[in-house]
Amino acid sequence: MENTLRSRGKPQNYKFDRGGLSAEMGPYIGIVVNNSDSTRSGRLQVYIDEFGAVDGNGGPRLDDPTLWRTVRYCPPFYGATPQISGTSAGVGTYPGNRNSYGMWFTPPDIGVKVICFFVAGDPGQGYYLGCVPEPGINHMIPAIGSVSNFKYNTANQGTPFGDTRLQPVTEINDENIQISDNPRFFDQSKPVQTVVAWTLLQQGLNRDPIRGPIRSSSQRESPSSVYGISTPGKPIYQSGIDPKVLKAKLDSGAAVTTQDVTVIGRQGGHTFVMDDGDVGGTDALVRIRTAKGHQITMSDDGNCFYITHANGQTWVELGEQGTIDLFSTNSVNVRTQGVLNLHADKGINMYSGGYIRIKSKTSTQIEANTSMSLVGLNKFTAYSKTSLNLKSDGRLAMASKSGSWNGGSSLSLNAGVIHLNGGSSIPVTTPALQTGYKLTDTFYSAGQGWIPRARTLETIVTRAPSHEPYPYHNQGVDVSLNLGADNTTATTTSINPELTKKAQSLYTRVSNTAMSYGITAANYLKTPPSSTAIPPATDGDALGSALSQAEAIARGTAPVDLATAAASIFGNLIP
Amino acid sequence: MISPQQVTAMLAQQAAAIDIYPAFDDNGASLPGWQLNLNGSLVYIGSELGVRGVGIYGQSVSSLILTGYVKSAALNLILNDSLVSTVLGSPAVWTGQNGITSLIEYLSNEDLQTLAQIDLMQGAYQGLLDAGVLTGDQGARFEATYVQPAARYGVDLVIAWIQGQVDSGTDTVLTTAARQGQYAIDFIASNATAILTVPAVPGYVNTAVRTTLDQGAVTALGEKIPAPVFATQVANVTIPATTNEDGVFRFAPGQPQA
Repeated sequence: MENTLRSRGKPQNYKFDRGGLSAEMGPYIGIVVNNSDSTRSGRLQVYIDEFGAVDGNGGPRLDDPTLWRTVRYCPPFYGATPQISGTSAGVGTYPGNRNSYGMWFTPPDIGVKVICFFVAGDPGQGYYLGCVPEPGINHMIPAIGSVSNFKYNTANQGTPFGDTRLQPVTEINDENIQISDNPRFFDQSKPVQTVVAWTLLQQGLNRDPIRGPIRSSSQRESPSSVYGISTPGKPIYQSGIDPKVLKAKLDSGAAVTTQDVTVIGRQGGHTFVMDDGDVGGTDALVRIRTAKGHQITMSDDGNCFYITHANGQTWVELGEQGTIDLFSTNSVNVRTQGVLNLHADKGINMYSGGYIRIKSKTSTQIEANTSMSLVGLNKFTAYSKTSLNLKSDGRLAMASKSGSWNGGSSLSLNAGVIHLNGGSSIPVTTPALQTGYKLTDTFYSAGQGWIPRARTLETIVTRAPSHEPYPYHNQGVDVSLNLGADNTTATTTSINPELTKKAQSLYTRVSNTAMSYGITAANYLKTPPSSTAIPPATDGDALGSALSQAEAIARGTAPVDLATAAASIFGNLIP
Repeated sequence: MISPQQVTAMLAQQAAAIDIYPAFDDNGASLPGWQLNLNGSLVYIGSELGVRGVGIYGQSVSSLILTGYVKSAALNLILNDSLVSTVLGSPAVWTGQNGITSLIEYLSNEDLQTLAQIDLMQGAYQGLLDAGVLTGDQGARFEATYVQPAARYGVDLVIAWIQGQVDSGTDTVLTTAARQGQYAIDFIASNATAILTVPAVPGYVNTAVRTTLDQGAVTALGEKIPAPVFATQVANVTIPATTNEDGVFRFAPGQPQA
């Protein structure tokens, strides 16, 4: 059978059993020396020791192209439909042209070892089947696992991370034999993979081991419970060139240096992790995450289904207690061309930091089976162009400090008895105002990252998600109920009455001083807006409170519905 | 309590008070001491830096030390105002906070200057509160009267001023700054409607200003790794021109429904 196959046009000199040259069948281990394929079919050029040569130092001559072998990609699965005949002219049709499908996991970086073989010993039919992991260099597979034994690359690099205790890290220093030869090399300190670490920090997840830094790594334990895949990620070039600049250079034909295209690292790729959890069940999850940081986490360990944007400005969680939490720093928009149904078995709380507008094109009906209170603390107006009706099947009582009734052309008062300045009045009680809460909100601090602060979000609702880290994940709404009204009030007791008195006197003198260099609206609008009051609404964070929505719009930089609450979360980050 | 808008007005007022030095001569040429920053804007770094102050708010070296951008040892090197530009021109005196390692980098980042100025105002407020000048319930105009000069010249000098312990020249300077603080509050009171008018129809993109966060990225990521960009990507969808079918409810594909 073998000889029959080999007899099909193969050159005699490749038939080693017929006196030809040694057949290059393999399998061999090849070192990738070129992964750029002009045919874009995943071909590699590899250096194979068995067919190589040594240089003057006894090392392999990796840089000698005459010693390289070209091997084609052989994925575990691939297929394609046949080309339909009769379409030889033009671009073809769909259906008609071939449709391919399968797996595509190539190429690896220069220097990676691959298993190669040559079909029938023909050097023109070389394939590579898989890659050979370097011993000990698999911590970042299938995701970039986080550890507590990490080290920042520079002295100030850790500043934004504050007391973050778990950080994604790279592989060990393979050149340090004290580390690489250590039987527990996998426990050794590793440098922080700052791209992922930074993404987690800006998402506010850097201290959240469920949604943020997970320990899922092929080196976490043995036998491993972690399965998954990852892409290499964007290259980091030796010259530090920005990929966009590199692309522009390549597109324009400008000179590109060797350093510009030499890959010295990777920014981390897309990852798909299926983790059965460690021995104790920690990190049991499935997580899909893009290189930039968009992620979907289904955590068995954390009992949550969590989705977040890479920039952390929006997230959604289906929580353990039956909660659905949704957070957005911008607007939340819903539209249906049909009917929008909102039903709550228990109650509905709505709070707006600014206005509330409700309008219908036809009729509006608000109904309460027991009582209804409408309160406008400054003004309340009920108006109709044609008819305004007030009816009570029982009593109708009105009370005010003063009043008038202009009936226009006519005014009729009908009753069995009308008392003018007489009789008893029916008391009208002032309705109780709604209970307000001050919930926890989250703020960014340059030295701590995102941190929650209690009693900083004024509202009447009983649960309000914040930018991560949201401290009430997986807790029911009742848990976060009523943190208590704010009982902190500014002190009004002067510690130096004499100085205060002098200040008051000076204040009057200053007020009577002529003004110079007074600002205009143009001055005001070109000034970067402050997002904080003085003193700050929080306990000192300069990125504390809200910028007026109206002002943001006047500046042309912010949405009309960027509510006060959202702005207060981001401080000056959102104008 | 001084509201965010009032704080912004005080910032604007401070900037306006500093923005009195011409950058060009009569022929349109830039005057000595002015240089383009990293954004291509002219900034002053000349020998009068000690008098004019640094950046859009005219911050002093002490202020830059207070806000953490300059090492405190820099003060030992500044024997007189004329040395300010020389000392600050040395990268060695900059702490690297928020990625700022030189004078020109600081002058190129108005957002960080603003944050620093707000920090100074916060510190001034607290200092005046601690001293008993402010009590927390005197109103924004009163508070701004003292916070504005204290943020620029220091709390101690303002307290000395209140106690009548400064010379007439200092009194004039502090009175001017105090009056400008009052004016900023008055400005908001009288111009709120004009400035804060809400347009009838909102339209907005790119609402997140990530300056501080992205500055942190530069610190954290390390060299050779570009910071992530979250630029607005707009779908390339063309709104079709008005046709006679507009307004007719229809199901696609097919013909308009009667």
